[in-house]
Amino acid sequence: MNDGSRKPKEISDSIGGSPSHIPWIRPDLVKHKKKEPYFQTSDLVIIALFSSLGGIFSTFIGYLANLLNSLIGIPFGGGQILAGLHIFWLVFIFLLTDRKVGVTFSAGVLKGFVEFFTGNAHGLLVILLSSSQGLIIELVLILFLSTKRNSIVAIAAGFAGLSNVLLQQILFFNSQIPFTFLAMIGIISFISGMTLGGIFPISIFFGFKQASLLQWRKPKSISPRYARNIKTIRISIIVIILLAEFSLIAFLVLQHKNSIQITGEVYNPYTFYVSDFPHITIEAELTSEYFPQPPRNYTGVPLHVILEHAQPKFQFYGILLKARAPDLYSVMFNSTVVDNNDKFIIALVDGVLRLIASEYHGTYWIYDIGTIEVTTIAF
Amino acid sequence: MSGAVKISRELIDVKLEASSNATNPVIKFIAIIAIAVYYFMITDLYRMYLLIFAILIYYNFKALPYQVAKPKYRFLIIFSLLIVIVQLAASRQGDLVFFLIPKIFNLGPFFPIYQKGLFYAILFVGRFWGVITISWVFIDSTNPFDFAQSLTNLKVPYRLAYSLSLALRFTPVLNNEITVIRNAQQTRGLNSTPNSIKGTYNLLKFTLFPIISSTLNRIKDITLSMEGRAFGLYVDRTPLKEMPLQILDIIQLFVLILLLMLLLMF
Amino acid sequence: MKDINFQYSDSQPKIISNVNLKINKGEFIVITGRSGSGKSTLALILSGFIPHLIGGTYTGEVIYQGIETRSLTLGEISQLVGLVHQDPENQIVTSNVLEEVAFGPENLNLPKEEILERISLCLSATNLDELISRGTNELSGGEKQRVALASLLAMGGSVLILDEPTSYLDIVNRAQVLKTLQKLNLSQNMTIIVIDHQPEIYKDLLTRLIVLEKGSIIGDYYAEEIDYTPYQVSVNSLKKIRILPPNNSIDNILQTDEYSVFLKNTKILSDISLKINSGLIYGIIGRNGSGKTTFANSLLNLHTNKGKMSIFGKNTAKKPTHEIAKDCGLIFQNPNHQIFEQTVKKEILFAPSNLNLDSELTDEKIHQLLVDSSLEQYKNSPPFGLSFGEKRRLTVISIDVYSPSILILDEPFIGQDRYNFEFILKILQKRKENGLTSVIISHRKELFNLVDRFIIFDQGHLIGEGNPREVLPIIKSKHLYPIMEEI
Repeated sequence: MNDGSRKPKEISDSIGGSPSHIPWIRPDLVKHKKKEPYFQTSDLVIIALFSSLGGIFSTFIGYLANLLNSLIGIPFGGGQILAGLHIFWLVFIFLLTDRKVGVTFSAGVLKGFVEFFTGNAHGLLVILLSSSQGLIIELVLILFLSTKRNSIVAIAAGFAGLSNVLLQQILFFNSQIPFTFLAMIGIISFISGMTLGGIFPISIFFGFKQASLLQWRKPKSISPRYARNIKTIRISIIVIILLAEFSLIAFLVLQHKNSIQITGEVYNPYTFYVSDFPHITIEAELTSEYFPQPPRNYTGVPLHVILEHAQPKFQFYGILLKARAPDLYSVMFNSTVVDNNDKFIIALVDGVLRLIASEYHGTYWIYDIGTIEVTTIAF
Repeated sequence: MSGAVKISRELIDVKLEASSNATNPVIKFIAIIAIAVYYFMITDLYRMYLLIFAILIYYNFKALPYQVAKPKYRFLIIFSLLIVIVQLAASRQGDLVFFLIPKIFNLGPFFPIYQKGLFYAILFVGRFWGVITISWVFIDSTNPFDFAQSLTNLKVPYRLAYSLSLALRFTPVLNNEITVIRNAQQTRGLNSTPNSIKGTYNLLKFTLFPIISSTLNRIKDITLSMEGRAFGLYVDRTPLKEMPLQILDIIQLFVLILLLMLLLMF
Repeated sequence: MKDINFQYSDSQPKIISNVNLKINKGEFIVITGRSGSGKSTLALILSGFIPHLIGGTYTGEVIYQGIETRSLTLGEISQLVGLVHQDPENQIVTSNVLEEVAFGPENLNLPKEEILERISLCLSATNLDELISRGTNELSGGEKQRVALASLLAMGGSVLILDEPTSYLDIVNRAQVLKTLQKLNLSQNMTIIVIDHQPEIYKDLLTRLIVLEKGSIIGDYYAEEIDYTPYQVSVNSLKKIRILPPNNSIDNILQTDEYSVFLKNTKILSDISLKINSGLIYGIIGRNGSGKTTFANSLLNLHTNKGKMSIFGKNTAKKPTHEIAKDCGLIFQNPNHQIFEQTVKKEILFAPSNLNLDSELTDEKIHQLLVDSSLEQYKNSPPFGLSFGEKRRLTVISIDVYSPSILILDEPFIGQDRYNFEFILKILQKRKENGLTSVIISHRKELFNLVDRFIIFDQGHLIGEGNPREVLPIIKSKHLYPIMEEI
């Protein structure tokens, strides 16, 4: 308490200068001293050791997940339920280091590297997964830096859990998984992140805080270097999030299911909306090994009408119909087949734009068309 | 006395030289990231699987390095199967290849497999295994401590780079400690294969508590030990073992990236 | 060379109060005292960690060569004073010996030549030349402790403070560390301060003994005037337990036959054939790394094994550990690894409730155990916050509470003062009176007058079994105990 008032003068002198008055240090060996670092050594040791522990612990989490699977009786799901335990360590480190900004991200990266070097089954990707978890927590917490509420820490952990599922989805599965299934896994991961990754470490931390194990660290109140810019940082994060959201919405609007981009060797590339053109009705039979459909009526716009509107540059051309990403299925026709032929129409079937190609095999009936490209190569 | 000093000086020099010939670990790391990105961009299955099988066969004959537990093939296979199932179920375009469950009397056939679904299944599994196998190559050929040290080349502050090597130093120690704790649980009658959710939770709780408390104790000692040896006193520290970026390494990296880009185009 | 003066006065009511001390250069001082007497805190103050790193209310001053520690930074103090901890594992922060010794000088940002100079000097001073390229994970406990010493020497200081530096080490390793300390003290005129519960270990080296109690100095003796008996467990109290007659002894309650143990496909123990009877106290001894702990663990099926093993005539070689635990209790070396619950009372009930034995336990019995072990006041506090000695007592009673027929104690005396030693003796005495078997693994020389039979391991083999006098030749030939003068 009272040592602050009695601080000897030498302290201010010795910082940055050469402490020539210390008899046991050779003056030629004195270098420029570092200012009080943002991460104290003990912070670094906490981050290092608990990240290391978190990295090792993932094997144990795998073991627990297997136990859980055998208890429930299905071969998977336990991993998802326990996914929050991977976040446990990041939140625990955050609490131990007096809630410093930058800790969870560093810990996430470090934990990823430890898992990578100890042969985690995801290889390189574990670094990506683990750091993104740390980053998400970091971002959510910077937004609410002034509040020290634990509930926000828990929610941040929940988002970190969610991010994991999304990343895996982007990397290894494409978007054709039913949305309801995705949402279900997402909700499980969010809850797992919030409980096992948020509330659980918080409760354990307070359990340990009562014991004297944590009290040796001398409290130092060093605010991050950018603390005075915190308002700018916070605003820029909000702007970035809003921008991201805006572009996502714009993307979704452009990807509107009822529209097709007409591109390629045409004078008038445009976006086709099925409602903008006159419709005709034809009868067609879908021949397919698995679901053949008897002849029925389809109403839609003839393909040649759509193409004529785009004004192709050549008399003969190829027509490449591509399904929406990421399903890159495509079919190709020669313009001679399509010209003035009302047997090819684009119709809205079950909310998806589909090519009805009567007299053609079912594999040509491409659905979820995103673009029609006019190409030079005609064959 | 001076004779002994000389001997150890020679030993130090030998030790320092031995490690300076290898490729800079950071360059190597960037290289494998480039290859991993390549795996995510190509759709040529032959090229993809050729590389994967080459690495797999190589490691089938060669043991993986000490710090790596034996590959968890079980997990890898389950995860691959999951990818396959999802892709097969989701893609319904292209030619029908076959039915997973053929027609039996009037029932079925069920689960049609389409060409496109099969293609995606193989592609995505290839991406997954590609990343895994290329990671093995890196782990096998790199001393993690050298990697941590060479991070300072990328202007990572030495205090942060150091925490990685600290984490790696204590990985085997903590791993061993978890084993001891799980042994200790059993010697006090705790069943390590519980048959209830509560038992599983207890297993988790009774592992977490002791490992956290002992790690907290460790942290205090390690901090004192590092501070007691002037860690972080000055802005820089003298790295005894230098890992400079060599021009040759950078050229190699460029050649690799160029090659990958060419492979992507043709 | 100038004299170094320590002037020290401190008034922290709880841990250290009004300590005044003056130490001259080149002294070899041993500080002793009961657990909780403030020895370790004193070491932290002397090495500057208090007040620089560790929080608390601190008044008074420590002065080195006329400069007060508060006016220096830790980095500056570290170039004069080094502190070696009890557990060498936690003070090695790099992956190999060379980098470990280089760690300090690197931080000091010394020129490379100077670093290399210092490394080779320190390595030869601690006889570590051959180990230079070894990974730190491959070192033995004694080697680790010497590496820790060397890495502090490389800081260029002239004062070393060591907190129980030899408690994890066997007699040969300990001798090496002591020899190193002696060399530094005599030939380099370094000041050495050792904190230990067993001052007699340093009998030939020390110049001064300081005794602490409740944070104050109660004794300050020079080498000639020291009487070691107050710090030793009396031989009579050990022999008193030895002469207790075995109570309704049953033969061969534990038996192994051509028993081998494997760790990761490496044979650690081979062809152990051993019989253990009830109502006796056994001592397992052997060098560090001879397989003592592995043997104890394997009796509870924690490792892969081959051969026959039976408890009470029933084959246990394939039984899961948690079922054997009922008959055979095991107390691990480090008490931190076997404390699981949130309160001390729950901790005592942990094993009995796992083993479905808690119905036989009454509150009175638990209360009695808590009182006997002086843990009553912590009944509802979290056990993680206890001191090392208290944790040790807790782990002992939390297994003793269900009285397993066989109790194995793995190095129970490490870091324990005389009071805790005698507490464990009481437990052993009670068990012997009730006809139960105890097995102690320890390097402590007191075992010689305590145990009924010795079991001696050497490099994975059982090389002797019998009462202490029978196996004396083996003990002497293998340098296991410095016992010549005590028999």
